[in-house]
Amino acid sequence: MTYPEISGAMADEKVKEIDAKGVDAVVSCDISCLMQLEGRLKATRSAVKSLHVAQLLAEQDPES
Amino acid sequence: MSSIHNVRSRHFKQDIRSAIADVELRGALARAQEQVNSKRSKAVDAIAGDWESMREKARSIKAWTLEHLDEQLELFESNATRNGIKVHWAKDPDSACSLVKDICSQADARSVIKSKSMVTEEIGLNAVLEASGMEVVESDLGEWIVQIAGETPSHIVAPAIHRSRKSVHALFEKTLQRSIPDDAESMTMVAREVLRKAFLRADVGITGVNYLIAETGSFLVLENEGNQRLTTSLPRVHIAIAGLEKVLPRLADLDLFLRMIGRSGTGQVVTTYQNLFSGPKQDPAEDGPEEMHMVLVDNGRSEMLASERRRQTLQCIRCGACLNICPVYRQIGGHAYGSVYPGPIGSIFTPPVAGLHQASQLPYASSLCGACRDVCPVKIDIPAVLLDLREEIAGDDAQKRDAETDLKVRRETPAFRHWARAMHSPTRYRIAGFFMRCAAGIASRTTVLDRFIPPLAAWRSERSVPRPEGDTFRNRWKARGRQAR
Ligand code: SF4
Repeated sequence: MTYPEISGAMADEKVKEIDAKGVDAVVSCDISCLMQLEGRLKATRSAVKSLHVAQLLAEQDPES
Repeated sequence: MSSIHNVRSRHFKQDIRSAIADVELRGALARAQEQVNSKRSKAVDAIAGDWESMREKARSIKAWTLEHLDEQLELFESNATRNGIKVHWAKDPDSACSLVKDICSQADARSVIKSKSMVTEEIGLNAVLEASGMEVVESDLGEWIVQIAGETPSHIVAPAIHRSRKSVHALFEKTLQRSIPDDAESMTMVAREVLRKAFLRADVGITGVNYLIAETGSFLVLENEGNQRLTTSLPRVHIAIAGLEKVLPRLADLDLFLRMIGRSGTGQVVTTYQNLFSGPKQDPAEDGPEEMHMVLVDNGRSEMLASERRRQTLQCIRCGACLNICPVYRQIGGHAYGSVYPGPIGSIFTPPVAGLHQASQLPYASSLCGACRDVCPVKIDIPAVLLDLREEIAGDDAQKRDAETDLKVRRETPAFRHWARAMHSPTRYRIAGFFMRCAAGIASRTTVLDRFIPPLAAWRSERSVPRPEGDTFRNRWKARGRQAR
C-alpha cells in the first residue's frame, strides 16, 4: 500500500503470465495477494477466476 | 548524488513513477534479470547438492570474522605493512577522500585511472579528485559509459544495465564526435582505443577490493575485462580502497568465496580475472607500481557491527544476486532508489549509514517476498533487517520522519494495533470478522467508504475488494465437525 505503483506493476506482469498460461483459475492461500491479482485480472477483463484455497476445497465438498 | 550521504529521498515517489512509465527500461531490466538468473541457476545446479552447505560455510566464515573484526583488521594491517603496503584508516567519506587526494598530490598526479569500485561511489571520490584539478577516468566499460553520460551506476555489478546498446551508441558518437558502427564489437574497440591512452597517461591507479586476507596481508580484486590489470600495473601508484568488512582470515578461504561469487553474481563458474596483490614492485622486477596504498573505510560500519540484528548486513560480498532476483528492482531499476547502493542490499546498507531518516523510504521499498534472502550466498536475512529498520522508523520520534513516511506510520500503527488485539482472542477475532464482512460487503459494492478511509482508496487503486458470499468458513467447519461425530 505504501507504493501502489510498484505493486501494481509487479501484479501486471504476473497477470500477463497467468493469462498466457490458458488456465481457468489462479489459487492462492494468501488473501492479500489474491485480492490484488483479482483486481488486476478484472481490470484486464481476463476470464481467469481467482480462488482462495478454501473456496477450491469448498467447491469439491459434496455436502455443500 | 555525490556520496552515500546524499540520498535522493524527497523525489522517491516521482522517481518510481517515471521509472515505471519507462517501458523500454522495464523491458530491458526484465530481460537482463531473466538472462542472469537462468545462468545463475545453471551454475549453481552444476555443483548440485553442495550449494546449501557452501552458503552455510560462507556465512559462518563471514560471521566469525565480523565477531573478530578488530583482531583480523590489525592482523591484516601488520602483514600488509610488512609487505610494503601503506595502510590508512578513514572514519568517513571526507577523510577517505582527502587521504586519497593527498596521496595523489604527493605523487604529483595529474591523471587518475580507476577500475570498478562501489566504495569510491559511496565516498564520492571522483568529484573530490576532479575538484582539485585531476583527470579521473573510469576504465571498466560499464563505469565508463556511466561516467561519460554523467550518470551514476544503476547496479552494483553491471553499472550501465539501464542503457540499451542503441543509447550507448548514440552516447559514444556524441561524446567522441565521430561516426561509429553500431555493433557491440566496434563500440568496444572504440572504447578500448580511448581507454588505452588514458591508461598510458595515468599517474595513479585506483581499485576497489573484494577480499582482504588477514593472514597474508594481501588483497584480491575481481574483474572480467582485464582493465584492472592495466590500472594496477601501468601507473606508478596503486591505491586500493575497501570497506572494513571485506576481510577474510585465511588465503584458503578464497577457495570457497571464489567459487561462490561468480556463480551468484553473473552465473560464471569463476570470474575471468582474479588479481591477488601482495605489495608494490620489488627490486629486480620491472613491472608494477612503486607505491601501494590501502585505504580502509569505516563510514558507519562499526556502528552497524554493534547492532546484533543489523550486523549480518556486513557479511555482504556485493555479488548483486539480490538485485537480479528482486521483483521491485525489476520494475523500477537502480536509479529510482536514489541511493548509491540500490536494490535489497542498498535498502539495508544505506539507511544505517546515511541516517535512517534520510533514507526512510528504502526499508519500505520491498514486498518482503524473501527472494533476496534465498539467493544470498552468505545467507543475509534481508527481510528481517528491513523489518528491524521499519520498526525503528515507526517507533521513533515523529519529528524525525519525513512527511510521507510519517503519514504512513500514523495511519498504519493504529490499524495494526487493532489487528494484533483481534488476533489475540478468539472472541475478538470473531467479532472483528463480522465487522470486516460487513465492511467488505459495502466496499465491494460502492466506493462510499473510500471517502472516509483514504488508504482504502489507494489500496483499491490496484486491487478489488471481494464480496463475501454464503456461509462463513468457521460455520461450515463447525457443521462438518457435527456431522462427522
Ligand atoms: S546481500 Fe547477499 S545477494 Fe545481495 S549483494 Fe550482498 S552477498 Fe550478494
